[in-house]
Order: sequence, then C-alpha cells, then structure tokens
Amino acid sequence: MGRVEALTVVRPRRGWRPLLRRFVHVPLLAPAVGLSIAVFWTCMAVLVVMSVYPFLAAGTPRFTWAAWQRFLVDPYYWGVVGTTLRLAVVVTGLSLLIGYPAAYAISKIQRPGWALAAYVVLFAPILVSVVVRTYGWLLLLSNTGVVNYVLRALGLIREPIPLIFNTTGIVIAMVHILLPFAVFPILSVVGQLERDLKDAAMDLGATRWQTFRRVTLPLTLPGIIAGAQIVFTLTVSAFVTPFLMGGGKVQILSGLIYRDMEAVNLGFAAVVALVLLTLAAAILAASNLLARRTYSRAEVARA
Amino acid sequence: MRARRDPVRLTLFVLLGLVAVFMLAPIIFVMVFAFSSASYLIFPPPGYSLRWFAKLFQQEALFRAALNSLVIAATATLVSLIVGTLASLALVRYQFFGREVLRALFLAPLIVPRIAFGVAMLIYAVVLGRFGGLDSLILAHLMVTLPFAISILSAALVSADRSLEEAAADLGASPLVTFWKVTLPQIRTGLAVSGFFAFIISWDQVETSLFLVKTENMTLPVAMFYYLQRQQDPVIAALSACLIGAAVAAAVAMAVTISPRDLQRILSAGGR
Amino acid sequence: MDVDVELRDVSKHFGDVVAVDRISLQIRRGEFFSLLGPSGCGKTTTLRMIGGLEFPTAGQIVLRGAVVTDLPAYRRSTNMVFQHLALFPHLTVAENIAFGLRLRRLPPAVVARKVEQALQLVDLPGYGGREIHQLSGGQKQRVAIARALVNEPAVLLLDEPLGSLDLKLRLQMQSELKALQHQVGTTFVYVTHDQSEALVMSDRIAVMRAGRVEQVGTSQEIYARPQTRFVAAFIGEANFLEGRVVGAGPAGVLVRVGGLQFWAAGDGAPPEGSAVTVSIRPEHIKLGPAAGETQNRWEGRIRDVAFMGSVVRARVTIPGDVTVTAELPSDAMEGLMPGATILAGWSAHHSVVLAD
Repeated sequence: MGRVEALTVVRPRRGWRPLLRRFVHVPLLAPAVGLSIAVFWTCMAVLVVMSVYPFLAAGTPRFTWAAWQRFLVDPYYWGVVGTTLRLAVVVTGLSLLIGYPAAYAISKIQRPGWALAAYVVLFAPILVSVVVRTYGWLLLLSNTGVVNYVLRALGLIREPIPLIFNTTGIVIAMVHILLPFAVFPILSVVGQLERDLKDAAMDLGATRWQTFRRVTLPLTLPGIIAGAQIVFTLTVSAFVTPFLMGGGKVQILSGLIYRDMEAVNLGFAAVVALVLLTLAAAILAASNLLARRTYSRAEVARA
Repeated sequence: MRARRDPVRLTLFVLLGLVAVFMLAPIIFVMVFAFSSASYLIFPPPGYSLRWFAKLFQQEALFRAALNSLVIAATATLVSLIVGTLASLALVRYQFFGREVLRALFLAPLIVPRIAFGVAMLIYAVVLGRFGGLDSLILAHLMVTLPFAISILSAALVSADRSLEEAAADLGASPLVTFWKVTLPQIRTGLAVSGFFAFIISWDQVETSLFLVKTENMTLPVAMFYYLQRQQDPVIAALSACLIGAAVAAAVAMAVTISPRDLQRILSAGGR
Repeated sequence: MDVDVELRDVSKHFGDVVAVDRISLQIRRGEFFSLLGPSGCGKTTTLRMIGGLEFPTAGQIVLRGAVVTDLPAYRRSTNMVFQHLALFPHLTVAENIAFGLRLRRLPPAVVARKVEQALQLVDLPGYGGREIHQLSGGQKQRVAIARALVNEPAVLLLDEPLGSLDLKLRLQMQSELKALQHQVGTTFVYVTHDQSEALVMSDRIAVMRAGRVEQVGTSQEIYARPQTRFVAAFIGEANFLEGRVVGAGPAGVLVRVGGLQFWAAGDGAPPEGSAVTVSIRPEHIKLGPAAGETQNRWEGRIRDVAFMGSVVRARVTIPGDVTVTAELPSDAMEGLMPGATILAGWSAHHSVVLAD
C-alpha cells in the first residue's frame, strides 16, 4: 500500500472491540493446539524419556544410556538400518522407473473416459486395506500361488521359485502399494508441461530422446523428487507389508520395533522408534533441500 | 491417426496396461480365492464354494473389530473436520505472531513414522491408564488425520474468495452467519475430500493401532493382520472381498464428489 | 448541510507501512464523492475503513453523527460495491440481492417486493432467477449495485467497480451510475484511479497521494485551480514552469521564470523571493491571433506539431528558452509550421502558482 515511514507514532486505540479483534484466532486455535500438545507432543516427549529412563519396566527405574548404547554399538542394528535404507532405495527406484512412464502415458491419453479409467485403476487400490493387498500378493507369489503356477504351466520353471518371505516379495508388494504416490506428483507436473517447449526443441533439431533428456526430464524433475520423497519415507517407515511378505526373514527397523514391543522391551523399542524418526526426518530435510534447488532451476527453465 | 502407430507411444500404452494389471492383480485374486473350496493357498482352486463366507459370518470377533473401526474412524473424521476447520480458519484468515511455527507444529505428525508414534502412544496410554480403550485409539488416529485435514482445509480456504466473506459482513452478516452461509459452501469440496481421506486413513490404520489394541478394542485391520499371522485360510479372502466391495462403493461415491484434479493435488501432497 | 461521513485524523498502518496518514474529510449527504489517486495511495483502505472492513490505527470515523470507528462492517449502515463485485456464486441473482434483507429478518413478501424494485432500478427486471455465471460483465455490475442499494444504506461505497469493464461499457455505466445516484439520492463514495471517471461523475473529489489528501474540491476547482504540482499533473496535463516570486498585486503574484516575467494567480500568495512552480493547462495557451487578447504573450518559435484527432499539440519555445505545449482545435492546424514564428500567450488567471 504505499511507503514505509515511521514519522507518526500512533497509540493503539482502547476499547474492547479492538482488543477482541486481536485475539479472535485464539479460540479457533485452542482445540487443535490443545490436542496437538496433549497427545502428539507429549507422546514425543514420553518416547524420548522412555529411551533413557525405562520407567514402566520392572524394578526401580533409573537414568541409563544402556538402550542407546546397545543400539549404537551392535553392528547388527546398523545392518538393520542398512537393510531398511537399501529396501527404500530399491522400492523408490522401481516405483519411479515404472511410475514415470505410466504418468507420462496417462497424460497422453486423449479420450476422457480412458483417462478416468486410468485414474481409477491407479487410485482405487488405495481404498483397499494394505493388509488385504499384501494378502493378495501372498496369494499371487507363494509357492503354490498364481505366478508360480503360470510359470510352471508355461514350462519356464520346474521347481517353484521362492517369491515370498524374502526381499523380492517385499519389493514387489511395496512397489504396488506405493506406486500411486509416485505417479500422482509426476502426473501433476507432466500435465503442466507446455507443448510449445517440446515443439520448440524439436524445431531446433533435437531428436525425441534429446528433447526428453534436455527439456521434458529437467522440467518434470520437481515431480520426480516429490514422488521419490514420499515413496522413500513411506518405505522406510512401513511395517505391515514388509513384515508379512518378509515372514521374519528380512529384518528392518519397523520389524525391530514390533519385536521389541512384543517382548515388552519398551526402552529399546523407544530407541529404535527414535532412530527411525530421525532417519525419516533427515531424509525429508535432505530431499527438501534438493527439491528447493531443482525447483529454482525448473522455474528458470520455465521463465 | 498416424500418432497411433508411433512406436514410442505404443510402448508407453502397453506399459500402462501392464501397470494396470499389476495394480489390479492382487485385488482380483483375493476375490478369486474367497470362493475357493480349498482351506489352503493353492492355484488354481480345486473347486469353488461359499463356505469361507459362511465361516466369516461366524467370526464374531471380526465383526466387533469392524464395529470398533467404524466408531473410531467416524469419530476421528468428525473431530478432525471440526477442529481442522477452526484451526485452518485461524491460520489462513488471521495474522498473528508465531503463525508459521504453529502451522509446522500442526503438520509435524505427518513426518513421524506411524509405528514410532504407535510406540509412544502405547507408553502414554499405559501411563494414563487408558490402555485398551477406544478413546486412546481415537486420539491416536486423530493425530494422523488432523494434520491431513488442516493441510487440505487450509488450501481450500486459501482458494476461497475472501471478498465474498467481506461482502457478507458488509451486508450485515455476523462472523458466524458469514462462515455458515458463505465460507462453508465454498470449502465444501475440501471438507468432502479431507473427510473422505481421514476416514480411509483411520479405517486402514495398522501401525498406529497395533500396540494399542487388546481384545475389547481390537480394530479390523489389526485383527486381519493377526489372523494372517496365525492362519491363512480364505476367511480373510472372503472378508477382503467384502471390504473391496465396500471400497468400490466408496470410490464411486467419491468420484461423484471429488474431481481428478483435486485428487491429484491431494496425492501429490503426500496423502498417506 | 448534513455530513454523512466524517474522518477525523484517521491513520492506518500495516506493520511499518503507513497506508493512510492522518486524513480528515467531510462527506456531505447526497453527494457523489470520489477518492482519486494512483494505486497504493490509500484510497481503497480509506473506503474500507468507512465500511468497517478495516479499522483505523488512529483517529475517528463518524457516520451520521455516530462514532463508528470500531464497529464491524455488519453493524454499519454502509454498503459496498466491491472491486471484483464479490457476488455469491452459489446463490441466484435474487438470492444475492435478498442476502442483506433476509439477515434483517424482513418478511418474505417485503423481501420479494424490494428485490423486484431493486432489479427494476438497475434495469434488470425478470433476472432474479438467473445464476451469477449466466450474467455478462455489465449485468453483474448492476446486480452488485442492486445488492448494496436494496439495503438503503446511509452511504454507498464503491471500490473501482468499473475497473474490469471494457472502455465502451465503462463509459455507459458511468453515466448510468451518475443518473442512479441522482435518482436514489444516496451518498456515494467512489474510489477510482481514473481521473476522467472522477471528473465526469463526482460532485466533489479528494485527490490522494501516499496516504494523504492533497486537495478536496469540485471537479472544476480541482482542474482549474490545482493546489499542488501532484494534483495538476495527475488531473489532466499541464506545463510546469519553475520560477521565483518577484512581486505581488491584486491580480495575483508576479513570477519570474528564466528570462520571462508574468502575472499568475495564486491563493495565499507566497512571499517574495520564494521558489514556485507555475502550472498552465495546454488548452489555455493561445497561439497566433488568439494570443493577442492574453496578458502574458511573447513571440515564439514552433518546434513541432502533433496531430491527435480532434486536437493538435504544438510545442513552442518562447523567449528565455522556455518551451510550452499548447493544445488547439484541429482546424487551427493550418499555419502551424515547425520553425515558424508565432505569437504565444496565456491569461494570468490560467497560470496557477502551486504549493510545492
């Protein structure tokens, strides 16, 4: 509105109406703030306390770094962290590898009916419980399941190949569950791509591959990063699917938490939970940093 | 029609077809197995029967769990819509000190892995002596659904036309009347979307509930999770078939209320 | 004369930004009053404070004798026509117009009658059942005006309501709005950045700049006797001559500009020796024989001539190396040859001494 100037010193007017106006937001925020502090933030505090002061265990509780020490010193647990991250990398990579062309194809569908069908097929599975879908994969991939039956019927294999209770099964089911979260962010960016830019690139003599590599890919990078971020963090913290598909053969952080909770080892479970939380937050922070850089570059490319 | 014969395009569409098969296969085969006559996993099924549905309807525990889940999801949804709308109104419509900090505070639960939060929630519930109650489950789910509702409703309020609210006030409508007659109709879609997702998220919540349940406050997805660990007879397939039917009905209901554009926005925002 | 709106030393700060800086105004009953100024001058903020959509940081707002400074919009007898109209998209035309009436819990029959009358007033009879998105830009405009006027406000506030219309429709709506105001007799406070719009429609105009009121007056006063250089430049066009006061007399003040010395009109003559700016409208500068009747006239040389349709503009350099622009009817163009010598001059009362 105008200029910056601090010549006039103005005393705020008195009266209840101006006062009321300054604090209308307080009652609106109160329930959310109350819930957030009383439940979520207290929970976080409780978790931290539990990790160093296992107060629900038998005997008199006392302050101890024992649980942290156990986790940080034992290479086994670092191995679990490694497995968790490796799994996330593979699932993220595959989701993008499949999700990118799929998103691209959907954006190229011309008939609205087919486009809607594509949306429904990709989206509807989200409405079906993760437990049900994981169960579906158990049915498909078990030794007596559909995939091994088909492969045998085709004469490709004689003995069933083990597809569940190992990493393969986890990866297949995880990609299935997280694919929509990779496709939709990419789709929203691909949908905004300007036809003109590609035409211009082609006009300038770029081949299709060059156009893709130099125009389409850089411009859709923000979508790819967003998708990767979601898939990665969701894989790192997933429990149901890796647990059921892994059948106890593949140990990741969430499974570790479950095991310690079953053993009523609350202190150690809290430590693992905090490690997982830190990991998720760190990944998010790092990818946000990356995203901000690419965004600004994509903006330049757009301008 | 030259575009149709373009090999790159063709490859893309073939791939999209394969993705569709990939996405639908587990769901379809769960339905197939629900009608299998065998009591173990084998394909092709030796025969077809309805006996697993019959057995499903004798599982009283599963029904109680479904009822629990329904109550929890409905309550969590309702509360997140109300509390979320109020908070979003404050965040979007008013300027005050610490607004961005507060927004971050509200959205923080989205970052926390569900299973980690589940651990914390159990400890807290035990401390408060509420372990085994529906209330602790509702509160736990609320922490997951509320940030979600706040982010969707804030976006809806940002795109709602502020000057319409001013016009209403100018014409004599008190803030309450303005909200009811002008603001609410404008954020209807946002409410439908966040309500729908809040319900789905709560309904399908395993990790957050896992440690909080006992027999009396068992939820359906956790019950199914435990059932699958114990045995793999097609009772779960029959139950899944029922749930898939419900999901299809829900999808149809949602397609009527939410446009693909909105959907895209929500999923891009990381709707889990 | 009754005063409908009075602003007493009203300021509005947004953080460190001063949007409105201690302005005082009196708006009379039944007048068409315009707040005119460039964007960011605080005119919309002033209007919104009168309507109760913003609240002053300091000062008082009086509406028909009652202090309303902190009263919210829904308790004030003002109604506004918004810049982007703000018609409720989920309501029909009639429901939009009835919005304020229903809130006052008037009986349905009365509401229906008033809505119909309002539609008649804005020349849209029978449009009540339409949806907002079915209307044209001009029709939406009328509905917005009807929705505000139907409540019989003490003051109708209009925030650049014609801004989004194309030129032809805007001119038409200007005259309609003026006629409408005449018909209903309500006090109109009209915000605009378009000086010609303000001149055409207003009884009085307040010219605003950077949060302050530069000058208040009728269209003629503002145009003919601008008090500041900003007003003279913002309303129409003017030649500005920088000079010094060298004397005073009953006809005004004697000013020296470069090598020239001439009489100029000035309210509250500044003291001798002070530096001043003199403003002369281009159409007040006479050329050729017409200049013979003016008090201040010199032989000048035509530098260039621009044909502009109904008028021509000629730049003339007069002694003392002063160049002025003159505006003449097109039919006077013959005989205006660049390089030619010509008599140029203006009447003393057309050269106005400005405050800064």
